[in-house]
Amino acid sequence: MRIEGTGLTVRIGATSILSGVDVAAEPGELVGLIGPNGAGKSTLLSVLARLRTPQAGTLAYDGAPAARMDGRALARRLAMLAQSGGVEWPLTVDRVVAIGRLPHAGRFAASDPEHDREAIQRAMHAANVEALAGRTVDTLSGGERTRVLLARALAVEAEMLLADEPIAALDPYHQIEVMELLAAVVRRGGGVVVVLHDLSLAARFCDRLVLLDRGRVVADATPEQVLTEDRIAAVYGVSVELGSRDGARFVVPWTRLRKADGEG
Amino acid sequence: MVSHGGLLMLLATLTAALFAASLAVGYAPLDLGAATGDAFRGEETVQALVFVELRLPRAILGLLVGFTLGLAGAVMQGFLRNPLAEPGVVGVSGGAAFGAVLVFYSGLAALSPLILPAGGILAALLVGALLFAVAGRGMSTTTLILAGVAINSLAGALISLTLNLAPNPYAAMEIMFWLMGSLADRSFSHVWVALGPMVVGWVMLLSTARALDALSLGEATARTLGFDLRRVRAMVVGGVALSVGAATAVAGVIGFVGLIVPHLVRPLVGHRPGRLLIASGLSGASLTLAADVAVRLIPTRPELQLGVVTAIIGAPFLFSLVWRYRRVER
Amino acid sequence: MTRRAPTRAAIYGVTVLAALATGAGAPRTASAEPPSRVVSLNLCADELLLRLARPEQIASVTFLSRDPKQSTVADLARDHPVNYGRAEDVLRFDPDLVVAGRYTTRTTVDFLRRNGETLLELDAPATLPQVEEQIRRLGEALGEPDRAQALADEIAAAFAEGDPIDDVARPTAVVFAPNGFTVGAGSLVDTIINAAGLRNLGAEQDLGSYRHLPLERLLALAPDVLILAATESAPARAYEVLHHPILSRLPSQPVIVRLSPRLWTCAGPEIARALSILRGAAAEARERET
Repeated sequence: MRIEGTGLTVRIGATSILSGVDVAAEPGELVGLIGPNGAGKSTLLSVLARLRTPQAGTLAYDGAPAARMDGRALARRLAMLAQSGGVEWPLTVDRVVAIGRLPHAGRFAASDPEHDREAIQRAMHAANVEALAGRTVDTLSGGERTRVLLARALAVEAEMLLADEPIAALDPYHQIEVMELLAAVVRRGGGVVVVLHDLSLAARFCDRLVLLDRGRVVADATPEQVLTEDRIAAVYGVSVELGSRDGARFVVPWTRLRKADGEG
Repeated sequence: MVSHGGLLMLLATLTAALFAASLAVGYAPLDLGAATGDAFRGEETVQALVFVELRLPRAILGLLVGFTLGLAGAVMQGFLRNPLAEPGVVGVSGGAAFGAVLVFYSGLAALSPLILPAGGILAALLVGALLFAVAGRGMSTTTLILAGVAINSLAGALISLTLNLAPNPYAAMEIMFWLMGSLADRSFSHVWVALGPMVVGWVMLLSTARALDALSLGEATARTLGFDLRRVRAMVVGGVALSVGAATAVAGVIGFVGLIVPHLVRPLVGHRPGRLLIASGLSGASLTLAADVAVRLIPTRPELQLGVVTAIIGAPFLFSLVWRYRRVER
Repeated sequence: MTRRAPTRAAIYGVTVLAALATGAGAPRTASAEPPSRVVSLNLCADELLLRLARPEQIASVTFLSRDPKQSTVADLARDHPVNYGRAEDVLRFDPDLVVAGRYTTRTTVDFLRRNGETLLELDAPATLPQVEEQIRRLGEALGEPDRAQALADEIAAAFAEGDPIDDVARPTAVVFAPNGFTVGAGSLVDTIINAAGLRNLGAEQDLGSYRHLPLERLLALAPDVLILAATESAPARAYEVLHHPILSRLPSQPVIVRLSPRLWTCAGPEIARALSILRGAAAEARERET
């Protein structure tokens, strides 16, 4: 399913969160949404997932207006991994992942219990949480919980997966692990849009980067094209050390170039 | 580990046993066998009459009201993601009682038997709407409890005011019935009048089962799983208003059932909010029937209000929850 | 010091003399004249007062006496100012006699007693002689002994009518009041029931001090006469038990009498009316028997 936003504008009161944003994503690519705090990344992701209605601009799914799509149909084609990844009750891991099958359920009971079981197995395998199946989520570490929630999103077997800062609270090992999982989703034929802060991981894993600054798209191209010293300095206000290894670029922020936000 | 079907069978059996106990307990010795026999044959002996006109409606009402409270408590806790949510605590029951009191003592209820539950239901709807308006989108525990305290205080004060303004000298003392609840001397007319709204309410509440499962992962995730939260909220508020409103109109406020029962049963259903619903309903019915049996065995005359027994069990229970919560929030 | 003491003594002396002179603080003695400003603080006292006293003697009756559902003297009460049983109400009328009930308006009565008012407290009579005695006592206090005696005789005559009925043939009766209370032994109601030739089952049961009768036990008692004692004015839950469907399907098919409690709450001529109603019910019950 191709998601396409044109001229997206979101305002809260007098404050503009997004102004005239054009962005698109489709299966087969891993798109990274990057930008400074407050640039509007999470808001944009919400709009793409149809969780938020823009004040101006259009959102289309496969060319048709997004508003026209039935909620349950959309739920089967688009899965979201939200930022605040909490689970209210001490559910077991397999039950949490099973929640991902709800969009496929029939009126009174599961419409295809066999397929559900297989999908849950596949999702847990893909997210590497099979060994945790019987554990309750409140006993898991941060990395384990993120993978379980990712498995839940994968269980939907949707064409598009939107993830809002899934690796923010993880250690380097688990950060790389999750990014590898997302890349695998794309290899299997899905499309991923992920909000990231870590520029190196964004450069390494994403096919395309969309750089936002204060609600506007500043760049939308390959990581090599987007992540230049000048552009990073202009948007983030930091000087960086660029390098490459194994054919992928890495970015190491070095010094601050502005005294405070808003200057320079 | 018992399967879910097995658990429901167990709870249904427990409920049936307590239903039978409720039929067997009363103020005059009753030979249940002879009474049921006479009743079936259509013979109007004293035994049959006591069984059919006094014990049966009381037991049935205990079952219906208890199921309502257990179910409503489970739904509210699942929807608000808050273990302290319950129709009594958040003020829905108190509001419903005020609606019923207003309609009863003004004489409106005399116009038609359906007006009394209607009063309870409308008031409960208003409270539900008010709660969501006041507490807004993110309902933290503090906000919820404070809103409940405010609503309960107001409802209690308005009930007291209405009873004191009522032209009848008995009215002022009847506050105990409204605030503490009772199933004494109920007849089938009470059952018929409350049954319809309760059953419709149950259907609305049970329809939220899957949404509650999805909501364990938060509102955003639930929405991306295809659930229209506005519709779910309407089902919750409407279902609670219909069932708890009607129950409170005929039995008064019976507190704590919807608070205790979901907690006790939740571990038995793997903490899944959807599966909790019917199990919680059956457990609520069991608890209410047990309390109603206790109230007739305790030798106070006139008999104790039902809410006294549920409060004696429930208030310490609530306190233990607060204690546990306190350690978590640290 | 010594110089101030005599001054203080003098002040004391003058005060005491003045008090004695005005009579303040000393209880007012009942004069030989009949009282001319009587205030009643109790419904039963109202009813007797309005029947025995001359209208000009009455300064105030309670507000309850005007309610036709609760009082048997509603029309008579209309011409007199009402009070609400409070001390300020009473003092306003500057009474020379205050008639109160033994168990109501206690704080007002205590205040009045300390203030030196002339008080007459009426008990709740349980037997016919006690009823007559109360009527006579009030009559004397009002200076209307003859009227009082006439009233007492009227009531006694009503009770003396009719043949004495032996215990064997007595139909059983149960009083059922709002909230499911019944009447026990040693009360005026019990006396009236017995005088009507009925056996009060409420007096024979072990029902605790509050005399609460659960419906199930009422059914088990199977009375010949069921007396529903209520006047339903405004709605109240208290009346619901009196309307329970089971009461219209009692297997013993009792004679059902609806009686307003105001007839037998107070000592007065209305108890004779209650008596005649119950006598009628007893007769009907005996007929059904045969």
